[in-house]
Amino acid sequence: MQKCDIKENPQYDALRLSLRILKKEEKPSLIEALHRAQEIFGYLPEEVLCFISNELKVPLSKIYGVVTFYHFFRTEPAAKYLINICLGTACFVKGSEKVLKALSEDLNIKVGETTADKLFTLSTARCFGCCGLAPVMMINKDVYGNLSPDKAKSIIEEYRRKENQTNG
Amino acid sequence: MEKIKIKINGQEVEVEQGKTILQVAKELNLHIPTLCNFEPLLPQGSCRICLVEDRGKFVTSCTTQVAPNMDVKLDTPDVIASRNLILQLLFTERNHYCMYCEASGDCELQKLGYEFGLDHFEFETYERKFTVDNSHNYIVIDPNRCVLCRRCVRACSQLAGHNVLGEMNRGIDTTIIADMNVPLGESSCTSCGLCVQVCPTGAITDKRSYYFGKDIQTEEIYSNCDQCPVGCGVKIYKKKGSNFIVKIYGDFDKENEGILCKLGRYAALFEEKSRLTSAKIKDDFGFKKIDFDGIIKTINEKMEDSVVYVDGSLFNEELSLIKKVFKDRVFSLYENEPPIESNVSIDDIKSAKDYIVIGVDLNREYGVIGSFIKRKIFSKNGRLILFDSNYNSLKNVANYVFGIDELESGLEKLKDLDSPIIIYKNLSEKETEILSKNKNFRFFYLPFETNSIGLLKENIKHKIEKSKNIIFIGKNLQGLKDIAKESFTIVFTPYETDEINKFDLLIPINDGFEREGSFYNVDGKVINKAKVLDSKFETFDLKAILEELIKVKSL
Repeated sequence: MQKCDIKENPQYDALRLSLRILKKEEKPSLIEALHRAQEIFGYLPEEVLCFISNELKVPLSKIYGVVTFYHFFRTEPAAKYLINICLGTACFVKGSEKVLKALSEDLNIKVGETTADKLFTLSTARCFGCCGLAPVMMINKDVYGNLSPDKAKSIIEEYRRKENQTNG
Repeated sequence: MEKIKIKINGQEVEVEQGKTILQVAKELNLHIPTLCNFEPLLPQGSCRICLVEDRGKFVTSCTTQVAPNMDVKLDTPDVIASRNLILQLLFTERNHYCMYCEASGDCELQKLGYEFGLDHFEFETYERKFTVDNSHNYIVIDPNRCVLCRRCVRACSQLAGHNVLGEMNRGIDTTIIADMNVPLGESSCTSCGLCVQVCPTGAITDKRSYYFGKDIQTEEIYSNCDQCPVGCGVKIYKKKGSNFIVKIYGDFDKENEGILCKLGRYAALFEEKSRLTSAKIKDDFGFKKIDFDGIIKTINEKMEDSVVYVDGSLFNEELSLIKKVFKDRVFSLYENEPPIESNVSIDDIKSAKDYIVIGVDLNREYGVIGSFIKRKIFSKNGRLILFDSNYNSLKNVANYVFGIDELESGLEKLKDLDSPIIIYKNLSEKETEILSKNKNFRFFYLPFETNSIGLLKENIKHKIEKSKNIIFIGKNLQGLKDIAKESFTIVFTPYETDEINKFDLLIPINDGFEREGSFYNVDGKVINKAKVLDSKFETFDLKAILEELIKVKSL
């Protein structure tokens, strides 16, 4: 086990509370704990994993394995805009993979990565529950439907323009 | 166990329920190739090479338990074709060019290649490259040679309980990692080396044995480790026809279940202390060499007015000879009596639920005992309560941590302990009193030195007495300086240290694998240690000197 350097703050209090409920179960669910932690911290820094390891008595190496196995978990803070492209059945049939490829090339990052300017993180998801709009992507909490690769690129361009305006 | 009937290769056989197809086949002397399967570890089914056909479906025989009406076929053309493809894919994924690999000759993947008659690579191979981790003192991890069988990960968690190794990412990107993907040398690895022992390929190797000998060039010697009183079973690989130990492995059939600690596996081979190379005696000009007869003569002259001090590094045979020569003038230089006697054994440690460890860092010393406890804690079958005021690496593993001064109040808080085992080395009088009050406590004493218990059995106790001549026999010279100032001091010891030149007659004795003998382990059982190497120096066998002294005296 590694030594953890945890700087106490209210976020840890919230996590401790969540873990306390989980710990009452016979076999505390690690994935559930990681979900709660990512909700609270926005991502999963090493100190948080270490904290969970100590609280649940799950080896650090195992936790890290789970975190890197599932694309949903992030060990780096997400960028200002989190792009989630749906790869659910309906969206996939309607060509969401092409959209993903186009954005990946446009932003020059792979799934799970963040652009150098810390503006966009590219991520995938399985179904947002609005298959009628397929293919669909979400940028933070806004939904964009009926996408084509070009349309998706222009939406990203729009975000960039807005960002430049506020900065300029 | 209930028996059921299944068909194997068309023949009806009666087998025990709960066993896997692989186990049943092994009992019937039927061969199924395996790679990731390793007997003391739980099966995982990750390599897929042990595929068999059951009523038209492929199943991995290492993970599938026998069930009624099974109709298992071990080598239909389909099964063989699938195994061939699997093996091709295994060879394709990473660097399996055998001739540049340390493990070549002992590698289980290579053996499968020969078994299947693999004569070419079917697909493009070794396309993705990983960084080799050479950060550890003893161990090298080369992910390029890895077949992702996870034997190391399973051994590290299920057997050794350290839980350092894990896996990262998924699919073909999967790699074996330590902690949170830190270099192994910077991780929490305790250097127990079990991963090296179980790795089927050249992915995890140790630096000492690197290119020093294939298994076929070595002879295996079963013995026991004498680095501490746990006395683990070891398998020593000595290079045939030479005075050299290639590597030390743990013995899976002994009480330590194949687990060793850094001391037993590596320190015994790597850290060679500077040795006292010949006997010498001090005169007006300094030291001069002295031969066997000279030694006997000098000791014989000084024997009358002498006391003998020993430490716990001596074996039973040596101790009984010392007693024979020097009678009741033999004392232990260090405290060797347990504050509270042990009343449980190593087997009880493996089955207990609650552990109270007082002032010992079980990752650093008595590592195998630490392994037994840690694997129970991580599998949620045990609780660890730690009392220690110094830094203790078990702190993050423990369920409760207290300072050593909180012993009374801490125990008060923990009311629901299930006859806990107290593990300790030294205790103050007050601590002894607090602990002995509890009737449901069980005690497990860790002696300081390898044969501390042997000293007690020979009735050799700690006592400091002044005398004209002092004879010391052992390794730990620390306590000798103060008492030996005005006496003629004879020292039997294997190592050359700075303080050694203060003494008058220095006699080098055999050490480590040059000695044989027996000692009492933590359970009070007699453990034997075999002689493996010959001494490279002009050292003496302690027993020969003592026997000569008996002979001279009786004349």
